[in-house]
Amino acid sequence: MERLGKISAFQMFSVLLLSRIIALFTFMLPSASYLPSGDRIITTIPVIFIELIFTAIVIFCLKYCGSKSIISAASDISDIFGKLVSVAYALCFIWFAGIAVSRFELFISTVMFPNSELYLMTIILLSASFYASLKGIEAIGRASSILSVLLGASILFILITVSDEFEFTNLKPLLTQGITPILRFAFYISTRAVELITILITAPLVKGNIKRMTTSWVIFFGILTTLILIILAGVTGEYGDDQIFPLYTLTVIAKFGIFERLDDIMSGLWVLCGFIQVSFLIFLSCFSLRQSMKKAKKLPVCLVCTLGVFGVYLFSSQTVTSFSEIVASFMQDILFVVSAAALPLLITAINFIRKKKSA
Amino acid sequence: MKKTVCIILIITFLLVPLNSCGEIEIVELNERLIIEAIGIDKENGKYNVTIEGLDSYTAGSDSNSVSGEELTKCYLFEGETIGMAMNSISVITGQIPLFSQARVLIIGRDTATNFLSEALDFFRREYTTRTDILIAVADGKASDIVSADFGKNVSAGKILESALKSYKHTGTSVYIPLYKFLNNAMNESDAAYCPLLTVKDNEYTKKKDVKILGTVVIGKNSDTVLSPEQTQSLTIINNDTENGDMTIETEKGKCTLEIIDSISKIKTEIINEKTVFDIKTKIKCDIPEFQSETFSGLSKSDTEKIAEIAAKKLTSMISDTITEFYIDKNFDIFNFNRRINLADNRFYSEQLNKGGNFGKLSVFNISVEVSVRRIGKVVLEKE
Repeated sequence: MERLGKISAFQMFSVLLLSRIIALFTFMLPSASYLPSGDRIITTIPVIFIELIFTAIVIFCLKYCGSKSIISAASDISDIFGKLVSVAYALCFIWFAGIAVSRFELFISTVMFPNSELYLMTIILLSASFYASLKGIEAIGRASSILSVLLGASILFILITVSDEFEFTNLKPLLTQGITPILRFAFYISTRAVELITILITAPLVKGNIKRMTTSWVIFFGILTTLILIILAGVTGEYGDDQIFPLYTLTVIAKFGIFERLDDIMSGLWVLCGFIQVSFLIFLSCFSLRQSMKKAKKLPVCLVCTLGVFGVYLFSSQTVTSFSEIVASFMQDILFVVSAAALPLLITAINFIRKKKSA
Repeated sequence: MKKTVCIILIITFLLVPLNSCGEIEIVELNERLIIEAIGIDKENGKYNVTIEGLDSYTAGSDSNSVSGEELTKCYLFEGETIGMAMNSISVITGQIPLFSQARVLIIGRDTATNFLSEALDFFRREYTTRTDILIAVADGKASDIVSADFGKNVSAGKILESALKSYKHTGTSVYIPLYKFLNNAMNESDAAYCPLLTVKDNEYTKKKDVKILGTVVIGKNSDTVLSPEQTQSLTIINNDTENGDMTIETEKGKCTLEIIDSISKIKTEIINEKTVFDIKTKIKCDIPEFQSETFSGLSKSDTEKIAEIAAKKLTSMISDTITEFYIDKNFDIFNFNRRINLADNRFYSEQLNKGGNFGKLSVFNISVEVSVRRIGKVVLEKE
């Protein structure tokens, strides 16, 4: 029996935080531009609320399953069902990892190496992620705990240095278009928090209180997002509204003494964040698949998953508009709701009925 | 064994990109044209882009002396669009442009007034340029400023950047990076503004000098200019004053006041469909010079009198600037309309639909408080 590596709640928190930061702030979702900056800022409140609801569902399902992952709970119902669920989650993570690679390539090829085709960089990223996923969640967790401190300090530093340029008049009045667009946008943002789904699978690998860790992650990220959006709006005003890489826009403006190019200094951190996110998702897809194929070796499964991620990347990274359409599609909403709530609730309900019957 | 297989697989995986290394274009520094300044003009339906580039061959050579070749070179590129003009840089110079080092972006006044969004779209959309580049408008053609001869081995970009940064000392010009300019230009009711530059002959060196004429305000197909004194009022209201000086006349002599700190607070209220702005400004000054018939010091009552006269002068300056530009010409360079929007969005939207001349609906209560900190020589009052 292969020993399962475990990570601490803080390491898990770091992985989730880095993944969410790189996902949300290196590519502002296209529909964001339709909301005035004031409304965009207060969207974080319903986002926290919606994400906490999904967190509650995830925690409830995990609690009912004991210390098992949702795939193990599905396997308790039947082997075939367990295999189907494991394949479904593996495909889900491969898809999300492919989207993450596309987003990363779009970001890098736009702001760091403009007008370049970055297949080479993508392949190197995937190779490194493949290697990291083979090393297991402990390695990813340790790397991300160091990186999250570095990134957190960098973001804080940038926010402080640009706060000199903050102008109150750049902010916009709230609720000018009513509450409906805000709620719609909040749901849209929340259903892109794929990191919540990962908790269903990684629960047995985390030492510590998952409930507290997930809740604090949702709230902490909500507060951080609010802070970044307020400063972005206050510093860049109308100009910041149509920026698709908002945090990068702030780093270009930020200056501190001789450090006039903080965006260049930050480049390495973005690359490492992308690496952590992709490694984590490849690891999860491999981990999910191997739960239904217990005899399968880690290396070929990981390789297949990595190639799958590369396939999704090739499919989704054709143009920025096609990527935006894929990210903004209704299918993404459905995929999230099914994998984060519907399927876990179904598995929990069936297990509950089975237990009642057997009792 | 497992480790070996893993390493072999990774190497195999990497062979694909490594074999294609020949396709990767590696650009050496001396193959780069490092852009220092960019000038944009539109003439006869075409864009003329003037570029001052650092000649990396000369910069890196031993002959980089006063007697050597020029450090920078100017080029003129023409195209249907700015992008097309920029693309021809490599064809003409044989070097690949590096825009991220550009210090200033100068736009011809006519182009800025009539084709602002066209002229700036390239810089807003293209990530090879940086949005913290300083922007200014040329009084005439931008090419005349970018290609001006400021001296041997003197970069026009550097000279222009230094001139634009002089706002810190004078308070009579504005400091506008591109993102701030775009922030105003993209707003529905703001008017964008930036320094207005020209070049003049230096009769001693027989070269050119840069001169800031004031601040140009770009509205919808029209523009106007603030004098340096009016610019000072603008920077005081917008809390952009870092330093600066002013002169006042008193009964005892002429006094120079050096502004060391300025804070303006604006309260906005909508009362009976009228916007009331309460502008309270507090300015701290030093007196570096007091020209009088004797070398006497200044007493407490003298400084109080000076502060009072200075406050009156500043109030009048601010009031006149607001009246001329916001009320009469309807150019909002003070972000008053944004304040109205924040105070009452419904009122703002209604007025915007009616034409958006908020100035006519506004009342201003301006109060300026000047305090004098250092005066050089103090004289105690006689009983």
